[in-house]
Amino acid sequence: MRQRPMKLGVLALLLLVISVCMTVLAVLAFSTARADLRLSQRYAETTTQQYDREAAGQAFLREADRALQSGRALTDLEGVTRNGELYEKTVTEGNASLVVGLRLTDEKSFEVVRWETVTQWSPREETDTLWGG
Amino acid sequence: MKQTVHRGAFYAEAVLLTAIFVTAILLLVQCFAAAGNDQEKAEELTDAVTLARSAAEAAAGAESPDQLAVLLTGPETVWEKGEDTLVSRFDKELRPSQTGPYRMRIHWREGEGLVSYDITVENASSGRWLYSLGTAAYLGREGVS
Repeated sequence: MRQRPMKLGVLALLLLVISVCMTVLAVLAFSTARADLRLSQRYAETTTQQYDREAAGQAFLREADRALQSGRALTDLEGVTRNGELYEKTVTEGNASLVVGLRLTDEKSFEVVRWETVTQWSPREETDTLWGG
Repeated sequence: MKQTVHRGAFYAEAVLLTAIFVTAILLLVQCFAAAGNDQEKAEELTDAVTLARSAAEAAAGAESPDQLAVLLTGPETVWEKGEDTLVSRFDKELRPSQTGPYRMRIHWREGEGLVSYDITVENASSGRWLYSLGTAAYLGREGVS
């Protein structure tokens, strides 16, 4: 009686294909989840910075108010610059700054005329050249 | 004799193949579990930041800390009020809920018209800290607009 040899070739190939497919899926799932987590952390970080600037701006309003009440000039406050009738203070936190602009309505009062977040942008020194021509 | 050798080789190969496959599957299961864990963390953090941000915006628009709760969740408030603290829970849709998975705690300090808020969001079941945000609002005095 002739004996057929037992082989695992096809089964091994099938398991290999399954393993490769699952590895690709696992790598994709892992890298997507990591990217999501990084994005969330970035969102958290920029939000914290944004509200730190907001808090500093609000604290500046109190300082300005106190200064005017005590008869001091707004330019006596740290970081305040005068631009015509506008008194400005810039608060920088992270990659952006909050510019607060005040205008005096009388000797002891002011109105807020500018509350603007500006992003600092610096051009990259090196650019990715796709084709040299 | 020859058949026995064949069978032995077959079993050895099968056992080796199974061991490699099981190891690969275990590694992949760990990888999927880590991905699921990261995904869950990302979702929680995003929700926590969104909740804290809403509270900070409400704080900026509120004329007093008491008005903050109403601005955030409407007149039917679910807040536990302390002397200088508000606590509430929110569900996954970020709506107020007594049994929601997020707990937001808003603590404020007032000094010379400036109200400083510390907003903390944590996991309600485990008490795990998720995110904190600090902001302030100058309520001022008359004459400041």
